[in-house]
Amino acid sequence: MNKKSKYLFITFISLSVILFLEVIYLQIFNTMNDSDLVQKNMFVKTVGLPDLAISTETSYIRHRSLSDIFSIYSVDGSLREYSKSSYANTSLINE
Amino acid sequence: MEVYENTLNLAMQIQVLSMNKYLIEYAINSILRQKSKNIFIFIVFTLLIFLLTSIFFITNSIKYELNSTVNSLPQIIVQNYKGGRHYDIEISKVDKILSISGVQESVARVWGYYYFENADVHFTLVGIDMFENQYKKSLTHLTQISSFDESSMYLGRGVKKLMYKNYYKNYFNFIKPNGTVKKIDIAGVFNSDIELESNDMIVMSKENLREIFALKENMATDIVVKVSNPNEIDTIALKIKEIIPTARVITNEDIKVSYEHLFNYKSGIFLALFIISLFTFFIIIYDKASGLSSEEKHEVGILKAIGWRVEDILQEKFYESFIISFFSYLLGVIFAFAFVYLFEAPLIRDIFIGYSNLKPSFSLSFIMDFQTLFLVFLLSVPIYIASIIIPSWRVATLDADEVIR
Amino acid sequence: MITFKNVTKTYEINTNNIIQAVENIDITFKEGEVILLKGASGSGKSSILSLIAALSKPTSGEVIVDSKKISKLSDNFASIYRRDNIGFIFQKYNLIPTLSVKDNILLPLVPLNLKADDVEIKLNTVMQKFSIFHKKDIIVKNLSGGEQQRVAIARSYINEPKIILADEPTANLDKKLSEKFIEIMKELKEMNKTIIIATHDPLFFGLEFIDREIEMSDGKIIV
Repeated sequence: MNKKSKYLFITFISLSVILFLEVIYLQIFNTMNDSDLVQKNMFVKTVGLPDLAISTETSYIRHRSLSDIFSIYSVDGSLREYSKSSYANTSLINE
Repeated sequence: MEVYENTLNLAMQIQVLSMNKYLIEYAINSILRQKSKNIFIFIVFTLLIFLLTSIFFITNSIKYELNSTVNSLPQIIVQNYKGGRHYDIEISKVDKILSISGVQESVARVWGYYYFENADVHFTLVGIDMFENQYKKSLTHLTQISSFDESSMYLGRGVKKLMYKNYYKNYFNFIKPNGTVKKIDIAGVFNSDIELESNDMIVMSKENLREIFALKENMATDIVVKVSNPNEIDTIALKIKEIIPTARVITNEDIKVSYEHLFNYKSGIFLALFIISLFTFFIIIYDKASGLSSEEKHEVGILKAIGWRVEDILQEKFYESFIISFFSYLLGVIFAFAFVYLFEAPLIRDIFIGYSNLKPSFSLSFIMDFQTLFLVFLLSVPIYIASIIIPSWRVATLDADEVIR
Repeated sequence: MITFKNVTKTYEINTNNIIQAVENIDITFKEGEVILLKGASGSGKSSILSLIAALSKPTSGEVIVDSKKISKLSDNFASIYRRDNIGFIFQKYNLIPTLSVKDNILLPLVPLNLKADDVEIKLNTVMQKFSIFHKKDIIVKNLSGGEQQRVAIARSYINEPKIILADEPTANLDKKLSEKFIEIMKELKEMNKTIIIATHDPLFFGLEFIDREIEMSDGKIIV
């Protein structure tokens, strides 16, 4: 009579276990450890520049915290949305 | 009679709260009876939750990465502006700034972008005082090389890969503004642990950089300022603006604020994402909430006629909707974790990386953000449950006689 | 045990169209009686059954079952009353076509959350009693008319109600199956159930096991 409920329960438990194991695995292997943190801070202190090197299409995207509206227009105003990543990485510091 | 009814009422309410396995079984049967429709809803929901959660995970990790190093950035950065454009700053301004009380240190910086035409990329070049001990130690630690060379340069991994691809193995020829070439040897590559920060960077001596950019000895790109009392940063920033009216002063706080606004919900990707998600949600919910089909109504009528109370019907509907939405949520989140942190978010990462040829590996640090998970849960599960229960409640409170005839 | 006190039921289709289903009904049915309500379509037979089952409320008057004024029951208590006291065999059976025989018969017991063993015993007993056990896993829409009716009877019986109501039970059956139905009703009478059958099928007229025949026309009792 309650076979289907059993299967449902088993599925629920399995998914929960998978989620739990996934999180544990990521916690162990993908978390920023202390040595990573030290290295990152050391690098940022040496170089002194903000923002990550994820998007390097243009200078105003690369260092968006230091750039402003004019650095966009130093190239061409119509190019504001030319670069794909400006769409994701908007909200410049002076806006 | 009334007392009897009240006690019975209470007993019923307590019973309702406990899980009825037959109702759950009936709910499962109900879901399976409309297999194709429910599978479709399940898939759409899972995809939606997967997409939303993935984007949240990526932006959370990027923000986390940024915030973990923000306090190592300079306290104040002074840029020079002429006609609204960033220009080089005179080194003499360093002394002016030093004269402000509270300023501990004021250093001129040389850095900029070098366009490598062959690969159509911009490198970020940073000049440092190579002979300074602290930099020596840092660079050897960050690049894992045994000997330190002041005349050479240290590259981010992306730069090294790109140069290698363009046949530059041990050195690189920078083209100076006058057309001549400046050859600089490659001394080391930054560790992969700091790839997100350093991927497009080249660190070299200030002297070499000045030569490459043809930057005069009395000029610098900007000035960084260190203050003795961090509480005075804003005051000193104002004072700098007073003594150098053309200056644009960026404090560490400004950068923190800029990081906060990085994935602002008011613009760009989040706006588009929310609009699409909400639109899809509402289509599904409108379809559900606009009322039950005549078949479903008839079924509710039959159940009432054979003795099911309104609570029983609603409890069954709750189980039905909870099963679909909660399993979608679980599966969506499981996929999102794997997609972002194990597979580095293929396709989606291109939105963040853009067209650049200098792509870093998108290996983001994992952070457990319960707020995000809770938010996505709230946006999906209760809303779907409500969209099923509300029309069912409307039908269940009608006269059973009306519904079944 | 079932008393109608001056009961009138009207249905309002729209402001100009009011249908008087039953008018000034005063009647009592005793426990264990088998009553036949006869009359043409629209004579009010089905409405009487609805009122006894608390599926609808009278516009005026009172329906009393075992000293309980069921016409005054709230929606929830009406459902509980039906669950505990009434077994209704609907004209069109009102089974859930996409559920199996077993699951359809089980429906009245679902909200009770009884022990699995008890439920299994009840279910098997009832299915065997009405000769439908061999088809327990078959989806109802794939059954014949006679088989569906047996499922409907089994469902109405599983909660062991005191009162069985049947609305035009043989409307979709041939003579043979109708006779089978009558046999089942005789068995139920032997268990001292109060049975009220609303029908205009002459096959039921003058049968020995029927205690009383009540003729209805235009919402009123004639005989």
